[in-house]
Amino acid sequence: MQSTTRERKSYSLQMASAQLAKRRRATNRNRGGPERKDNRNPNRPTVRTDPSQRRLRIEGLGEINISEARDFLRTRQRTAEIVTFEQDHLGVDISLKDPEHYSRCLKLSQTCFNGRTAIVKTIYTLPLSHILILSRILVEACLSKDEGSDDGTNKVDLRGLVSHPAIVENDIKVDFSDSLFVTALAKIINRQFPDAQTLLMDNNNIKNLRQFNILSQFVPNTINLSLSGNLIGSLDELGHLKSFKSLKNLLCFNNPIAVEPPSNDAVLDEIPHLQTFNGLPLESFSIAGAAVTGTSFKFPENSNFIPEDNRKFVNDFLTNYFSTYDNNRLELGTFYSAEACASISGVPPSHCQADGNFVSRNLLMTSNSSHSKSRFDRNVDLMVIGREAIIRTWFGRPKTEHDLFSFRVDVTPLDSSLFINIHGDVADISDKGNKGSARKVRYSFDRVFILQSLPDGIKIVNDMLSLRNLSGRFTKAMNETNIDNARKVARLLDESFEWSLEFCRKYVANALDCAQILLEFRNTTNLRTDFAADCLERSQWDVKNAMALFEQHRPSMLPEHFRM
Amino acid sequence: MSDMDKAAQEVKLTSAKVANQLVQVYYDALQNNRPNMMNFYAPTATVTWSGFNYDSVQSFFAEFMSNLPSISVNLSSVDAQAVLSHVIGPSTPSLITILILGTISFGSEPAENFSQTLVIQADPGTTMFRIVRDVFRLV
Repeated sequence: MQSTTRERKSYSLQMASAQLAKRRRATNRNRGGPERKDNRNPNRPTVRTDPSQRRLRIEGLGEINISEARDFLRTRQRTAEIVTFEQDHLGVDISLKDPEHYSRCLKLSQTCFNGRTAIVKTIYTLPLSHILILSRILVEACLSKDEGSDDGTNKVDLRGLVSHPAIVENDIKVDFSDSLFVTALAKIINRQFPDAQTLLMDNNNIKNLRQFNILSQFVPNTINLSLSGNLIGSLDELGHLKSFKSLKNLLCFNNPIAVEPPSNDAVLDEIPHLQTFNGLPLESFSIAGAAVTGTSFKFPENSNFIPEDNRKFVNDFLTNYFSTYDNNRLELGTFYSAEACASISGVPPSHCQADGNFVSRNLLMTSNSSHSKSRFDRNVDLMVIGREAIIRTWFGRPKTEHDLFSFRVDVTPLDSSLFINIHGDVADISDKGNKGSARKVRYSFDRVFILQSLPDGIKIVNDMLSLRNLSGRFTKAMNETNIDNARKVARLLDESFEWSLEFCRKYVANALDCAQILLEFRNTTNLRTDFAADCLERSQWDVKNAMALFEQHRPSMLPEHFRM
Repeated sequence: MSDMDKAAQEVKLTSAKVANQLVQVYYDALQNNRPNMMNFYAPTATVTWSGFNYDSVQSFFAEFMSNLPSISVNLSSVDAQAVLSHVIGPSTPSLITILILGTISFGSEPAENFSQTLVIQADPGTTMFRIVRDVFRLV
């Protein structure tokens, strides 16, 4: 007869259960050891029991027919405590102790057992049908990956699982804060993809990561994890990912915590062994020394420098240099060689430009005009040569306070020189502020030091400083102030947090003052916030000029420029 | 002006000119002729990009550069200094450090500030400079 595979298999199950029942009656006592395979039908499932008769294992089933399974269990009720149905790669251990448990797993109901105690083994805790669906989704998702995108790691793609058609149709509750769900999912992943190294879990409404340490137990080799597009609101949540011991790269775009990118230190506090966050490295030092073949930075035999410890050397050097620069410029001489060179370039922030003595040594010449050329020639000369001249130059500049926590340093050896690139924030301190208190103006800089080993020690031979406006990219403290101010500005102006944050980033220390001025100007003119801000910006925040500008443009303005 | 001062002046001027020329051509290639960019680098060059080190220019281009979308650059400032221990003869610099500040945008992303240090070295016996060290950071 031409039966479907399904019918053939459930027929086999019936046969198996009937066979067993018969054998039991025949011998009238329990027998241990594996039962003989029925050789007549090679498709028949195999039934094994362990010597203690406490475990049943049924292998070789295609699909599980629930009612046959129930009947089968009934025949074993006196001895079976744990029943395992093996299906392909899926193993489901069902505890018979708690009827509600197994009924949830197998949708069995009204099956009685004589209350033998059972060892509660690992259970999936989800309805079997849900497990089958999840399992199938996983396999399909991973098989259908276009070959070109395979980056060599074993990828488990669960992006958008929560809205997968099969999940929605079957009303499966995908909730990553539910330990039962996460356990089931973790086990499925572990069975299907035990070597998984990349987990993609974007767009799954994940709010917290409390259950993720369960995931890390079953998918321990995870190197790359993506949680983009979720609802993770606080940085502490990332701490739950510490248990992924092999985790190197984490993506967290489009989560509430990414609105204001957390600082590297904050992320490393949560996951100390993480290497990149949102694609950027977390270490503040990068040292090319080990990677560069054939070159090494040589120091005199009697120096204290330990070649393996580039990092410590650079750390100490920079700490000493900047502490001297901030506190006692006249002692900087010991850092420089006698014939060292120094120069200052960049796009200096406005407070620097206000100092008439200072010109940026910008060698960029984009046109051939004579004006351009003569400026070029002047700039060429703006280099300071010789230790004494350099100290005098630094001495003449405003007092500074460098923010070492904002420093990002790249170190590169070349022949017998060491190149140190520093990027970070600094503040100029003037004591001409209101009420006699010091005023700090923060800005950012890039600096290249070239060090060489000379007879009298390791010295700076070239010093190139570049100034620019504050970027705050690397500053934790700056970010916290900005967030704080952004909230205040958002309340004051009744604007979104995101807009307010941009505003605060632009105006930094003056953000609250500017917001107040903006509020009043907006109330007077009834302009929309962004147009009011634009008006003020173009008038350098002078309210009179801004009003004049507004009056000048008013005739040509449209209703949409104003507040409703 | 003494001979030594004149030589020092020569070195300053040459370094500035070489740096200016190289920077113009390099960033033009970066934006408009990327396949040609490897020619700027010496065979022994290394690249550090946002803190990641690439031992060889080949691996940098193969693993990274080739995956970047179109790049658009606006330079704000260029500064250059000769490394004095590498001055050949009285007045010819052979190792120059260039510090560049500008803005860069990838594809249609908004522009961001970047700082790049290019260390260039003359091929032995010539005045043809190639990049031996490249350190790039978004700032």
